[in-house]
Amino acid sequence: MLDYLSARQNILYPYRITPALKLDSNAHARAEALANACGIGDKLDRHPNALSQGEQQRIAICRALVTQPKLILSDEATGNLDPDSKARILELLFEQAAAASASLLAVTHDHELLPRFDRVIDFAQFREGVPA
Amino acid sequence: MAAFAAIGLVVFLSYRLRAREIATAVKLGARGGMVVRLLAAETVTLMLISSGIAALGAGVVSRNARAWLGWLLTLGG
Amino acid sequence: MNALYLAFAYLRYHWGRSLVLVLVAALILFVPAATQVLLSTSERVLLSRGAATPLLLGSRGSQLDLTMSALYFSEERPDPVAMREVEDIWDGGLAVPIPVHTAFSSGGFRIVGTTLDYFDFRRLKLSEGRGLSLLGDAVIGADVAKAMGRGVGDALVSSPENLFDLDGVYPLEMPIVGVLAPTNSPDDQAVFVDIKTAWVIQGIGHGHEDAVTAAEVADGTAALSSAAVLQYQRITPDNIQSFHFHGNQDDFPASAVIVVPNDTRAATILKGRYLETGKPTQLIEPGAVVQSLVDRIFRIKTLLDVVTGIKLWRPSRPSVWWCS
Repeated sequence: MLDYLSARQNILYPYRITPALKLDSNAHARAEALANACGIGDKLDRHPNALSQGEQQRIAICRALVTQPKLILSDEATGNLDPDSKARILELLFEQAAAASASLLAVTHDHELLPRFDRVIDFAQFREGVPA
Repeated sequence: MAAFAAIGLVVFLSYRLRAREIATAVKLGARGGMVVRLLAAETVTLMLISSGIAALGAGVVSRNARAWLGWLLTLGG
Repeated sequence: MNALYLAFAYLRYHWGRSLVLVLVAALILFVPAATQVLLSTSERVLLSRGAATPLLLGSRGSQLDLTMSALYFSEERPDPVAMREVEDIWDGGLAVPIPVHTAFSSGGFRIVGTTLDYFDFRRLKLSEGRGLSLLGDAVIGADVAKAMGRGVGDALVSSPENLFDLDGVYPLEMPIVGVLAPTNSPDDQAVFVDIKTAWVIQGIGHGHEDAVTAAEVADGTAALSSAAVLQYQRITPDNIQSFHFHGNQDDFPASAVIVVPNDTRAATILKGRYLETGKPTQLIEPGAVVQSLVDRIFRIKTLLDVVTGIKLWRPSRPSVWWCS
């Protein structure tokens, strides 16, 4: 999180550093929609130091999704979130992946999530790099 | 010489202070050119303000140089 | 554009850190720039004043001290030169001698005892009042008037000098009769008096019944006779006739004598006369002295630049840097 930018500007940060992306009204609308979906729509003008760690994590997720990537890599993305937020964020990740026809590659310890993925690789079954 | 020293200091400290942001930017897809532009923008901004202040000071010195010099000479050569 | 937006946002949010950085960078740029401005101005001012003063006569010793004292009214006190030297130059008919006596000060400004020729020589113009005409009169430079907030009709008192207090000589109160127009030269920061007035301050000349006492100062009327409470002496129309000088005027002192030769030939002849090393006096060209001083200053500056360059090229490793 960049402490000198508001939550909104943090979400839109990829547009500032990637010349190929145009920061237009669509991008702003998408940022607001993502923030609302994550439950932080009313905190978009706050700076990170005025937000909780969970809220900061949700902003980071919005920032990752705002450019509609074709591949979403999620490494314990919901680790610091309460159960309600966790469900909401996962729903959002799946929604975004479906909407943009993107692939979602996630690393998680949460076995409850496994049925929602098309393919699952259980690393516990591997021993020294070879499937058991 | 002084200008090089000032630019060197500003670039060095800008990079030191924004190292974490640069790392984030690179993770989010910023290319080398953008990183350079980020640092250059800050350096140019800082240098413009600093040069303005320095020029203002030098202007004050220039306007009063004769009087101050006279005073310095009177003080004891 | 985006990079600038982010830079501004960063600098605005971390304004304290940015301010320190801006000030440090500004200082790094300002110091050499200001030094350069001061050096070039000093070179111009010093050289122009030196070049405008053809020859300077003074006691043997430091030529620089003599020049600084007579041209820039610095605090250096070269050994005095006797007024006999002034008479000799007059008698020679080769030049106009202008004595300057710069041993005293008033309120931090040098008192320059001289003759009326000095005002013509330096082309000094009055912005207010009249020139020197009576013993005790003072004409002040533009900066003195501004700094002291005084003008024609006010008075100033010479600063007490311990050396002369021992002799029972007291500071002199001098009425300001004129203020000079600004010249952007050391003349702006001087108090001009007739050289005889300087001798009065020095205690060579004095009057009688001229003591202003502490009690008189206190209530404006009463006078005490005890020397212990005497404040300063004052030259008035009533006592001016009683002022007199002890000794031979040829022996009276001047700090230096500005010598304005009639032409180049006269200057050469005069310089030849003072080449003799056995003489107690020397005739110097202030322009050359100032030029050598300026050369020395610039040599030192060049040296400092080289040292700074080496230092910047191979900076010593800082032991502590603050963390981001």
